[in-house]
Amino acid sequence: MNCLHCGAPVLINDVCSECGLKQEYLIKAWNTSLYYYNQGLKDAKIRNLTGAEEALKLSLRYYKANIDARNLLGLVYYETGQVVEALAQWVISSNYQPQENPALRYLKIVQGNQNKLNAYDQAAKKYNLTLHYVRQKNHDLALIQLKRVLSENPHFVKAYLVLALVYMQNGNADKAKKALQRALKIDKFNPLAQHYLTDLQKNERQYTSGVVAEPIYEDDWANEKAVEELDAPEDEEELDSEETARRKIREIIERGAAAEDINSEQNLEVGSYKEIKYGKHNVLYLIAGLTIGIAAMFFLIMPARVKRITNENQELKSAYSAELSGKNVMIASLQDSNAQLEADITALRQQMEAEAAANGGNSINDSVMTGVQAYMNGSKQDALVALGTIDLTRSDLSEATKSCIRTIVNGCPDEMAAYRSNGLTAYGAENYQEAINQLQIFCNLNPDDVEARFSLAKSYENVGNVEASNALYQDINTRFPDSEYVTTMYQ
Amino acid sequence: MINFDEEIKKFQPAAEMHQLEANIYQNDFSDVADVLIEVMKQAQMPPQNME
Repeated sequence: MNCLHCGAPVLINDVCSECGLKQEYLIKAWNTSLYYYNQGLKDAKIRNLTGAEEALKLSLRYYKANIDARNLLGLVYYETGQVVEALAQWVISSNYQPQENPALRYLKIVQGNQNKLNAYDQAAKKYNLTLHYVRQKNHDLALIQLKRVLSENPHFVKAYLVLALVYMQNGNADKAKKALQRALKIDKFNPLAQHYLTDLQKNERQYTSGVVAEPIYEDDWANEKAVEELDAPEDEEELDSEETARRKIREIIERGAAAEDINSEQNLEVGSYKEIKYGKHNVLYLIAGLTIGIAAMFFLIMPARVKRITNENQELKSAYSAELSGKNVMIASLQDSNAQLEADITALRQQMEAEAAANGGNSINDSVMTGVQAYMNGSKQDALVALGTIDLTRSDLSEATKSCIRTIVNGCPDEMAAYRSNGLTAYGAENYQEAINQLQIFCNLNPDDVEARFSLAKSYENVGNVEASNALYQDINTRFPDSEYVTTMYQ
Repeated sequence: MINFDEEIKKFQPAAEMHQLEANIYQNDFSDVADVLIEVMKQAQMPPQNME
């Protein structure tokens, strides 16, 4: 057997080996604790929360680690709106038994909702403020604060009791009764609530007559004073301005409270006190603000904006018109220059055609290109025929063209030799036209062969082409002055 | 009739959230076992005033 207090082994003489406590006393204490726990549970089940609280406190006095009693006490506190006390009990309970303890679940539920927890805290603060107001006889502010407290923590029994007291003090017996009934709905046998209710019922006439402005004190002086005040007629003129203002505020608050309680006659649900819903007004203000804003936009901002946009459009239009006219002028001038250029092109084309016609209808470049293409295709004969129309002694030929033609000519030695021999043979056989055909190609491509050139000149002379023969004779005389073919015997 | 001021004096301020820790320490009071241990300790202590 282990000790009920510290868990250490119990000696044979029924005494704990560690703490030295006799187990008999501890068992008795445990049984008493259980008895009061059962009492508290029974009270809690019939909503006698005050009785349950007392019984559970006693139970914990006998055995402070009675988890069930502590958890139930926390629940009772929570139900009566004392959230901090409830949390304290559950924290202690979870400290005694950290595993499989319902207090952990309670803590998780309550602490899980931070907004609600903040509301409870605010309610407690406002309740304390209310007590301050009440002690300063500032009942109007106290009433306002109490309504806020009960809207945030609708199970706060103590707040209902203070509210009832304030209403009773203000002579509002009906509302005081209603507040007490709400408190009794939570805590059925709350002794204070029952006491106030009984007193209300007993002295209802005095409370409802609204003359309980000040408490009736036990001592004579106070009693006389109170009686004097009760007997004194209500005269507005005698009251100072501050009291008048306070009364007016009180009337306004009372009217507001009466309006709120119209439907609560049949329904006495706990927590039916509600704060004024400012959210509803906020929505209305928002809608009104939006409407005014939109109207202002249409009547003030939009016309100026439209005017500005119109001006901008007009400026843009004029700018585009100016640009368009400039472009039109430019187009006209371009059209003129285009016509001029077309005329120039036509003239140049005619000039080129004339020059091409003068060159036998085939330009040098065409001949060169044809010759090169034929040579690259392997047709050397065709290449020499095409290139043979170009006289390499011409001064208008570029060096690049001459070099290109010479390269091709050097690649065709056999064909060139055939032209030379065929030409000389035809000349020897007095076939001068054939000699001209053969030798003209050869001499054009090889202008340094004096013999072939002389034979070509003679052939031209024999066919009657004196101009060509003379040109060739002069060329031989000029370029080969030491040659045996130099002659002055030409026409 | 009820004496308003006397009744109001019975109402103590409610505990706020920042007082939770203090409330926990206040609620962790001594039970019968603690009292017995304290009594036993005092019984074992030598008497201070022999006179």
